[in-house]
Amino acid sequence: MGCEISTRKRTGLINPIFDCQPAGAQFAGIGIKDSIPLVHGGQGCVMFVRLLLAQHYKENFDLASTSLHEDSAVFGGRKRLEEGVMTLARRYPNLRVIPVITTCSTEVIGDDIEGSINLCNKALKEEFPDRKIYLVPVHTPSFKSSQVGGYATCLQSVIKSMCNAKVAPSGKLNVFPGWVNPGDLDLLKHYVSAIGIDATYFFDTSDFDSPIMPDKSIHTHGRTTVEDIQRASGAFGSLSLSRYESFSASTYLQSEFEVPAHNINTPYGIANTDAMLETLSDISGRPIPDSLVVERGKAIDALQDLAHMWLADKTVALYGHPDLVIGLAEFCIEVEMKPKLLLLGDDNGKYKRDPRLKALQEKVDWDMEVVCNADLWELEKRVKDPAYKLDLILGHSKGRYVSIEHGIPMVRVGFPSFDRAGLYRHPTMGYQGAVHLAENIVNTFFTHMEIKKDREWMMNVW
Amino acid sequence: MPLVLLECDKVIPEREKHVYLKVEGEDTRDYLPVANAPTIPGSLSERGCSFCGAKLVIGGVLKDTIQMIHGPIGCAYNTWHTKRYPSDGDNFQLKYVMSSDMKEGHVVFGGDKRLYEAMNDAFNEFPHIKRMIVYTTCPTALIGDDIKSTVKRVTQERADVDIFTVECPGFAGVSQSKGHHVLNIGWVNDKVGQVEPEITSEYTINVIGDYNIQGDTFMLQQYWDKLGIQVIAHFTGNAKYDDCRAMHRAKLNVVNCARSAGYIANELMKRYGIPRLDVDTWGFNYMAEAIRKICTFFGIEERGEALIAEEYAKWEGKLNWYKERLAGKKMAVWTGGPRLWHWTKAVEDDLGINVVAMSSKFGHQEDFEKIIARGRAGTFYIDDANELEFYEVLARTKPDVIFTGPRVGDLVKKLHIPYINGHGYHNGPYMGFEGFVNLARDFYNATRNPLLGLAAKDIRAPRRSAVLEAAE
Amino acid sequence: MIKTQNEKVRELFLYVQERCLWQFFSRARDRETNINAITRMAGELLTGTRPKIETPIEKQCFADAVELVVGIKSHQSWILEESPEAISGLMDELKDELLDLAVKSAKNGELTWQAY
Repeated sequence: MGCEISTRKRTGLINPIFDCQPAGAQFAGIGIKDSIPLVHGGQGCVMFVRLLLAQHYKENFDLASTSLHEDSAVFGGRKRLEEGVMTLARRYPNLRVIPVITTCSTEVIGDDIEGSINLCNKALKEEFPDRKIYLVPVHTPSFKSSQVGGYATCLQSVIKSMCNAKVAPSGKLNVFPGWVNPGDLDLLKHYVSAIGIDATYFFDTSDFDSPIMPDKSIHTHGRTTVEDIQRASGAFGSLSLSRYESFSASTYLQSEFEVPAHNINTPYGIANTDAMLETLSDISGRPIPDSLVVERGKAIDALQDLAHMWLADKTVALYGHPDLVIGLAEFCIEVEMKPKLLLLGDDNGKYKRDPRLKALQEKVDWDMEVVCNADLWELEKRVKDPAYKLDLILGHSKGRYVSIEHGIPMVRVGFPSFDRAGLYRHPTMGYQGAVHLAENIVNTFFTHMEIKKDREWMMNVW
Repeated sequence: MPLVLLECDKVIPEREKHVYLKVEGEDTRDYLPVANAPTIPGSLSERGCSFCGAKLVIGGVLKDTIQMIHGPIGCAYNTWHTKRYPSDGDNFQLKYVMSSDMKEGHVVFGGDKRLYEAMNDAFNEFPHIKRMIVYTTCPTALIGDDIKSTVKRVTQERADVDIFTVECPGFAGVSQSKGHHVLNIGWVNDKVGQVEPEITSEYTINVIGDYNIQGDTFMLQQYWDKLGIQVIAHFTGNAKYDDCRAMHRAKLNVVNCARSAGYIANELMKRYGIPRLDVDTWGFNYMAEAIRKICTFFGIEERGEALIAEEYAKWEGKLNWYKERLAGKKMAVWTGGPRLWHWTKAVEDDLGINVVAMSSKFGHQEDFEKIIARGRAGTFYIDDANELEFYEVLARTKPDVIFTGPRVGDLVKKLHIPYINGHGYHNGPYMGFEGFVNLARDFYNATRNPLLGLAAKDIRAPRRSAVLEAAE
Repeated sequence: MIKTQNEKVRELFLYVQERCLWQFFSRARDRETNINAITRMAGELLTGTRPKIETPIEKQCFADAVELVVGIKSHQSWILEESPEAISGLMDELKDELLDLAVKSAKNGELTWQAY
């Protein structure tokens, strides 16, 4: 009994949990208003990520490529990078930020990104004396880390290169949500404003769920502006919610500009959400309003209907972004489920020292495994063994066949979720997210019981 | 003048050579867009990489083959779960992808050992699979890993396996097209001629350039079965690796996608004397013509006529029902290349639909010759169109429906234009007689969808209230 | 209305241009083979001669020619009125025009590549 943390031993990876670093960097880069990330590498590095984002959000995002061809691989891609920057600047008059994102190929070639950016800055100044376009170097070789680290790297690079002076106190709070859905972001905004705090979000991706408008205008873009980023140094604090995606940025603002970093547990489940609201209250000196007590109460009420009747003792496998997986494992325990297998999909050495995992290790009195640098085969291999009992899979759509082939109920959560409709619209965080997820889980169980005719009469009366 | 410099391209004037607006009476001797040329950096081109042209388009379709991608994880991740090509087996090709998961240390010190271990791991984990394709990627090509020798080593150590190597990093060529080429030529060089098929009919063909999108291959297979024709290999829809090693034994190569697989048809013609018959399989008129040609080739014309009569009896009424309702509709096609020439006349002849704009991601000039020969005057023909060009051409041509990928579909819905998945289909298959009825149905359902009409309404607009009206 | 020889060739040319994939094979040498053989066989078929078929490639050209003839008869039905000599003349001119479109005056930069 207890929780064992191990690492995948097999060299050959079968069915990855994550995309590579540039993918995460691209997602972060589109969170900025008037930004088109320029990915320095082969065209596939962009085309597939655009497709992936479209699959999850059902939206189109603008991302550009330097279209590295054979000659650049031999002679270097500097010219193409410079041409790419100038082409973007010339064709997109409102463009203000270009995160320049490297890939494995351009890192191996050794293109001097900073040098190219200096040259581009001169050329831009000459051609567009009245415009300022921020070029942000983002080093994300695909052979390091994963989409998770790529997100963190881009976020931190943007802050580092664009927020470079201490500004006057803005009275605002920086909120770093990590890689979440528009549904999560809207809920965070709701909490923050309910407490009466004025905040800036890094990055504000609410409009990744965007409307079709009568005038055909397109609203699918990040909302965090250049000014928002520059004023981050004047905030009264940073609330940072993702250890692996956003702590580095908030910590940077603390060490560089003395903006206090409140790096807290990702608010999945009741207790983690409580802690976030308490932190917000503490750092703003404002009370948690009654309305949130009611929201919390409704959530606990709803979960109470489900927990020890339907969810208790159900064994769960979780995979995906580390803060999501660990946070949801904590949530599972709150509703009496038993996380059995946690898969963390890259080789980040810090996972083993994560205090939340240590706390889980102390808490669990059942068999639980955490596999670092995992792939989805780690899940499937276990599930193939008839002796391995698993009641639920919580993870993103790329693992769907494990559920389909082995008849294990699965609830889609995390990125990318493309085989269930509209998931990006709903929160997973917070009180409402906990209810949404728990209800999704039991409804999935119910459907499964009905299809399998396994005590389906249970729900005749409930 | 018919080569057009669009407003959005004023600052990248070289785009003029890629955009053609056909005028009555012109043909490709007058104007032919430049194609298969380097992409302009930062133009928001739609193109993918050559690795994807090899792996995702062709190699990854094989239903009994491990796809081993030697490189960092993204190349495997991105070319998995991004296509709709089922098989009649257990869909191994859809479910699994393998990677050597290269990390920085392997980039510095070489990844050959890593690949060797990963290949063995894959065979060990899937003991029932004995075939593998190993692909290089940008970094493994740049550091010069000797993939062929690793493949040789594993092949020598495992008597019952066969492995094919594709050395086509993403930066090779200017688009997916290079990947098609490398895989085609590599396959005919390394693998064709190694397996002797069991011959069950005197009429044998290879079907080249069909990837079983939503079951296209299954649809066509019904026809071959009825005609008594044996398909030695589908290249590569629903195919087994070893089927495609026996391609040299077919009497005729029937080519659908000449862009992605014309190369292997040409090589089979040159090396084995197997004739190449190019056909269209989308559309009634075209499908019937294809069947007639194949049957004429084998001297089984009556069988062909019987099949065509049977299929027309079954489906023509349904097609015509849609034709009555779709005649005069305008369509844009923004896909890879060949579907432009396959579809433009097919929808015009069979459904009365006019194609008003076409863009090809990776077509060559050969494709544009076909597209322009078949397409209408007043239609735009664009090589490697980018996002701003799309907006401009849409504003000028106002199509009712766009056949394109899901991401561009997500874009055009904001402009109140419905899209149909021109790559993976909405509810296909689209090939064959029944398939073209599916296409017509999807087109019809897209155009009669009330939502986009509602989208255009601005509820803030001045209006006469019901109360006021009642008072009058 | 009586059509001139030029108009007739033009009609045939436009029909083939729009309809036939064999004129647009990848390389000039294959285009020439197809165009020469298929127009010749079509002419023979239209004048009631059975084309000589020895090789598999000729068989493929024959299959293409048969379909071409069916198409011409239905779209250019005036051809049924033409004399055998006139038909071979028309087919010769059609062939020249197709060779000009697909080979001689073609702007396709890949036609003369040696490799496929």
